[in-house]
Amino acid sequence: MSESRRKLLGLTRFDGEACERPARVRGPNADYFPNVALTTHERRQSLFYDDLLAGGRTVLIHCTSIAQEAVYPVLGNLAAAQPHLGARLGRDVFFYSLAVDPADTPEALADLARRCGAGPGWLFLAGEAADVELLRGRLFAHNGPHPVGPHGHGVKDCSVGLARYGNESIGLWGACPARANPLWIARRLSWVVPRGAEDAAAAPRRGGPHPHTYRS
Amino acid sequence: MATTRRSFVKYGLAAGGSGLLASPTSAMQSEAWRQQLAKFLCPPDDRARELGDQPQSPEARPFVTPLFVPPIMEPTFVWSPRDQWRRWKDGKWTPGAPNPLPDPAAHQRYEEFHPRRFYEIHEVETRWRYHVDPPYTVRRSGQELHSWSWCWWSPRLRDPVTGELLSSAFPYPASTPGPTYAARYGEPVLVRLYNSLPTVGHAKVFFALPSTTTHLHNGHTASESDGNPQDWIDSGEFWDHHYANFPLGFDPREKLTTLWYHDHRLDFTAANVYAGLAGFYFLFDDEDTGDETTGWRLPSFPDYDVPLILQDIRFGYDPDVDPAAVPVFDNWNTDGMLGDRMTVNRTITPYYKVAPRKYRIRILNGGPSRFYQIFLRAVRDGRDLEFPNFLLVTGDGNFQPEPVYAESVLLSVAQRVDVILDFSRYKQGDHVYLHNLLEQTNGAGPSGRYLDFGDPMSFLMRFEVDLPPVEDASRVPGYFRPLPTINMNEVKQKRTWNFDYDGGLWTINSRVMDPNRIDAGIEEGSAEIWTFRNGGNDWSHPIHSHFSEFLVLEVNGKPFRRFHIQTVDEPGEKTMKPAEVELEEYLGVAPEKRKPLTVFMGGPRRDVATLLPGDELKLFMRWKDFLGKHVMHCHNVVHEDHAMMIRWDIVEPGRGFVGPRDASEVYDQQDFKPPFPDPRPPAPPHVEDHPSNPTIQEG
Repeated sequence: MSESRRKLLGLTRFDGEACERPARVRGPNADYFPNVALTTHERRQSLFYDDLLAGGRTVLIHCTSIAQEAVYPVLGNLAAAQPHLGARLGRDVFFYSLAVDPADTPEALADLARRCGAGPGWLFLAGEAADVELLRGRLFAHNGPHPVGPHGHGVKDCSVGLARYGNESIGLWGACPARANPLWIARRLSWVVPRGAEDAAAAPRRGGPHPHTYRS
Repeated sequence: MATTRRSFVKYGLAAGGSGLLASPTSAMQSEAWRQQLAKFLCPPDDRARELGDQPQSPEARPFVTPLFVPPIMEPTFVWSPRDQWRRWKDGKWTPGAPNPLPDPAAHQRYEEFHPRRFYEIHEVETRWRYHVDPPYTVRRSGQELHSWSWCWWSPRLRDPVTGELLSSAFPYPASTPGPTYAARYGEPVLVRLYNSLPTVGHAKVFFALPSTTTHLHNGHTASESDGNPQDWIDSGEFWDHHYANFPLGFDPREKLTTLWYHDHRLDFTAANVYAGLAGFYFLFDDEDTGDETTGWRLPSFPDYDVPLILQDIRFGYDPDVDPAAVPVFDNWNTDGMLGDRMTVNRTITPYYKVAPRKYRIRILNGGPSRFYQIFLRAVRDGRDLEFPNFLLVTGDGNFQPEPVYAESVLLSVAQRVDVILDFSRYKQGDHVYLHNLLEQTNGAGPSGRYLDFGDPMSFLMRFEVDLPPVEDASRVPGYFRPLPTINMNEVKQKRTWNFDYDGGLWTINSRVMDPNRIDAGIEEGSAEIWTFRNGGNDWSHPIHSHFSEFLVLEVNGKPFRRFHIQTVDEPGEKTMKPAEVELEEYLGVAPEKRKPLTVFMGGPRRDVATLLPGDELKLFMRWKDFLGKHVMHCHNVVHEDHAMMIRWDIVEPGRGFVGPRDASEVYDQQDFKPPFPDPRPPAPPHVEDHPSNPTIQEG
């Protein structure tokens, strides 16, 4: 991020008095993720790492664009996953839809969010094209050239069908298809939420197998 | 310009890599450097990082670390055949018996194959010595510190060298690869697997998920004991695996020998195996006895029967975070990940001292993504003596009908070969190097080029002929066991699976893994013909299906008969074209006069079908003895985690289907548990009577 943009946001890092926000605990991938400035569909400026990943949040990140959504719909699936997250969505669980098409303005994204029924905690993020590309390259590294898929343009990009989920405070990240079963998307998020240390110390419990028949 | 840009990317990533381990203090120090770099950072130019672009692991001298040979599992309890039934019926617990007892209702055919031996094994997080030099081994106040990894520990282990019980306290015998099981056909076992890893958020190995499911690769195992990706246990839980140890359909030709176990957690297989969760499981029988004085007289286990697991690992080192180097995992590349340090049994380019006699060496490609083509080179007094051939006895745990000579062996991920190496040809002080000459620069598959023997990346390990001569009673028979018959009358269904890529996901028939979707309903007791087709021209897939072995019918449209061996035409060409060699021409030819294969890529029976770019394989498979869910997937575990996996189920005869079907259509069970349960108590029910007249409301 450029210095001018940082000033614009009223932020200066690591210079004591001018520092407006305390230094956060940094996760293991702090130097891998670019801390670029993004605008949410609610017109709020956020730093990708400091504001959106840090602070113990469990997040699901995928790329979207209005044009791409028309040929490869994903958002309806995430909308269906929202109810399974209950009150946690917006508290410590977040969905981030990264708008990769510069044509998608925050207004258009706000409209998209409204149409998806995005609850609190589901943010549509836009940014400068170079920043978004950098972020996408980091989250969805791929060894092209993969051919254009059956859905037409854009599918050669490996960030279309894939969603990353994880918790940066503990450095644990996984990936799942963005169009996976909504219940399983919610389950996956629950896997990477930090747990108490005492579970491992307790007497071992039977995890399975349980009585079950495969006869119909 | 291009080079400048590329090198900036490289340095940028170098900073990023060390930052994986950064603490706040080190981050503060490197802030200026990072900001300077940020000016030059640019998005990948349509090609992601290749191995050369990544930060290098710390230096590690080759051949100074001794090879780690995993200890041998010993049962903690042995059921006597007479009272095994009564003991369960009475619910009586005798000292040493599993506590709690296994639940017979949870296992298919438990009483029929009542376990004889009971094993306990724990997954634990501990430090593991990859190399003897710093920063892999760091001495701090008289103590040696090693690299954090996930290891296996069992209360009863036997030392493979001395044969003594290892009784020392935790965590010394915890190891990766885990202890080797020496099981026998006809002796069912019960393995109680404890997940004793730290809970999520408390592990030092932060990239892996401490929620595990252990798959017995190649095992003819019921679904509930197979280690299905969705049958996981969290920290503090255990799972009973019942390995019945009988060949499919009680057909002795279906027997297997070298199996391995590894983690198979949905979405996290690559990370968890990379963290260290893998080990060997050997199956012996009356012919392959593990004793060189009986049966086929192959070299004795464990003295002269040594397993090797090949894994390539990249390490990072930041003394501010941890005094020792740690394995670094690449979460972000969907094509696969490569390491720059070759480990054998999780020791970096080790040496192994051998006696001048025959050894049975079991070699496994443990992944995560690299393909190997292994060669041998014998050296005397610093000069090349010869390039010995491999004498192969098995491929993927299946005995070949006859031993096969090959100049090299191509091992895709999870493939295995047992080879007989005869060191009696060498003098004391001679060295035999194991090389991998197949170049690979990214996770998608081999580049098609070959390394030189002198390339540091090509060295895997060194055998040193150093031990005094010993008696060698072992033999290699000229014939092992016939292959199972291919009977087309058993075939109930033909299926085609197309392996492709779509929007960042690796797909099978354009679909990705859904644990609730069944893509094939296979009738128990039937056989099917499956066609595997690689939809891509620039990537390779090692395809593995659980539970049953492949019998190859066709390779790229050409018939592959029962004595065919897959090899390649014109090695060294850009594209490796599969070809085959007929073993029949071997019959009646003395072993030493046989012309060796150039490359052994797998025999007629195997459990990993290597699909090189554009390949198509047609396979015959049988399903018998058990019902339930299993999976078929790409064993480049990074592809597997990016959803290149399908679920198939064995169903009762007459109920087969083509699929896909939702599991709820096939089974009655509903296991809906809210992933984020509401911690608040449920709202009190509405107890007021409904007003008799809805228009009258009391104030």
